[in-house]
Amino acid sequence: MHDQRPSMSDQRAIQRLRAIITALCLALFSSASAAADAPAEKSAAPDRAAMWASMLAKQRTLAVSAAFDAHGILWRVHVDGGRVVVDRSNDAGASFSAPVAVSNEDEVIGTEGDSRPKIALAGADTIYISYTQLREKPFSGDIRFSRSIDGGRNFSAPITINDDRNIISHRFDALLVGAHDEVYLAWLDRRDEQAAREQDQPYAGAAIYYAISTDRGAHFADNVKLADHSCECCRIALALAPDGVPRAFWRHVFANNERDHALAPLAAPAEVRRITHDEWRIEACPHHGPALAINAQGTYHFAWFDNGPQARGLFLAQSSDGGKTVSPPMALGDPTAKPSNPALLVHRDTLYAAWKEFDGETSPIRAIRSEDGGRTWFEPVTLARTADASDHPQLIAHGEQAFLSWNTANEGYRLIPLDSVFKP
Amino acid sequence: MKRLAPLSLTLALLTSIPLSASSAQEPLPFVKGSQTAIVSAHAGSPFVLALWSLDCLYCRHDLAMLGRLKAEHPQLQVVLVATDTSARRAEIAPRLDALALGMEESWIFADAFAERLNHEIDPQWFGELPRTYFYGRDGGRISVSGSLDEAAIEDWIKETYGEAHEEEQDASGNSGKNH
Repeated sequence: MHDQRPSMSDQRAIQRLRAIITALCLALFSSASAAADAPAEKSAAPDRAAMWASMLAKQRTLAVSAAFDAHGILWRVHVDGGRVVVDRSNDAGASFSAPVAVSNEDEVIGTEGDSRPKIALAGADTIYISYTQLREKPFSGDIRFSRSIDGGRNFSAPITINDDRNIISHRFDALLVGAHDEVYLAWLDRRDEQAAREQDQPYAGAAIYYAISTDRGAHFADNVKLADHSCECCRIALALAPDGVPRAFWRHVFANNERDHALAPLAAPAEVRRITHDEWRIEACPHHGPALAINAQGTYHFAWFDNGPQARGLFLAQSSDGGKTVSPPMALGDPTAKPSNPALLVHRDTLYAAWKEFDGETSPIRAIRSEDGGRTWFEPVTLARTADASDHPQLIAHGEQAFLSWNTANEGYRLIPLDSVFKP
Repeated sequence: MKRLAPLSLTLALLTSIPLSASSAQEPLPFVKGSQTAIVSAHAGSPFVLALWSLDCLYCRHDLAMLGRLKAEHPQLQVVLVATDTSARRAEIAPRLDALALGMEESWIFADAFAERLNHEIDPQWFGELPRTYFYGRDGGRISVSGSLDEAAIEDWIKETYGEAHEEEQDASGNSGKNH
């Protein structure tokens, strides 16, 4: 009942476009790797300290993550100046407490594109925060973690989680609390790319690493490599499966530089499964990571953006066997309105998908829901709309209610109950 | 949470004019209407419009190539548009200088409503970087996402700047122009 995959004429147009692109960009991956150590920052050095300081002072961003605790209090993390700050709302987002800074020191924090600080709640009083601290070289960063065990009054001094301390890219943190209060952190890491480069070997993309804490974030076990060859600048989606093991879903670099999506458990042995087959061959930063939700019956729901010859736009698919077989993808949204930045939520027995569009003047958040695990869908609705800058949409839930969490420049932070739109 | 650029900053950007020819060009503020202004200003003369950002790994590779090509082919016109937020404006000129593009026309996004700027540049572009447009003499353009092929660009330069009567041809020989 929704949009089909690209039509035949679209397919021909895509094939033609592909021919042009192929003619123009035949560079191999090795050339990009070689470019990564081009001496770009040498002559850029003199005023870097001053630039950094001015950047800190101006760091304003709409990037927000939000989550409910067990009592229905809404917690929010965002960046203000050079600090990651946390605040809370007892009235479903109508008003917020004074923000508490996670760190005593200014940092430059990744908030652009798919980067944002993350928040996760556990138990009565425990709040976990992760973020990417950008370092002084281009593309470099560290994965940082802090926690509060007193209900958000105090936060521990942030620690760096990546045990590789070279000033290279460790970025795009993803945070999840497990079934037994384990804390999972996964991220994109270029230590293997750096090692390969030092040996003059090619290395496609970055790697996915993760670390686990079993003592509520006091300590983390050693870093574990989940997979080589992820795409470099798309967020990782994490979701907990009924077996208690989180699954990661990310844009991967497959053979022939195809930037399709992969799924793997955050546990050894981690078999990496290819989920999408859109064959987007590109040496670029799409800045456009996927979404993952898993229901109580173990059905996996995937949402992703692709711009390949087989598919262009936003797509949704299901798997009931852990990713071994995947349903034919269904296109999401109006293909002429750049559907982007998908969010998924399984809540009670309802599956929600939300995404952002742009109609030439305004950005609406559109959403659909399914009451039968993704087999059939109700008509799409517009949850909210803005006529200026806005953050990616996020779907969160508490009790009976599911919400859109969305930060906008014009209207500020908005928490919109989905039922008010879907079942007025 | 407020909008990205305070009014005072926006005004400062709008009134900034590159003063010296001996150092790298400070980027101009790219706002609603800038895309049209760039295309009008270059009407009738071919140019390369390169969209990039400070955090885009593949952009550095492409920009270094464009810097080399510019040195070899001084007639090549390059317009650079950084999609970074204007908070990072000060980093643009040093980076371009290091890539031998410091003297080229340079812009940086100066409206936090990036979706609208992206749409004005190209309704078909989803924001992936690098994104490069090759504008012909007739205003038609070829778009490329991802890394560029140096030999193909050399061909485009030869065809575009070398022989005026070949201006109808694009770099690949395909009819992939869009407006």
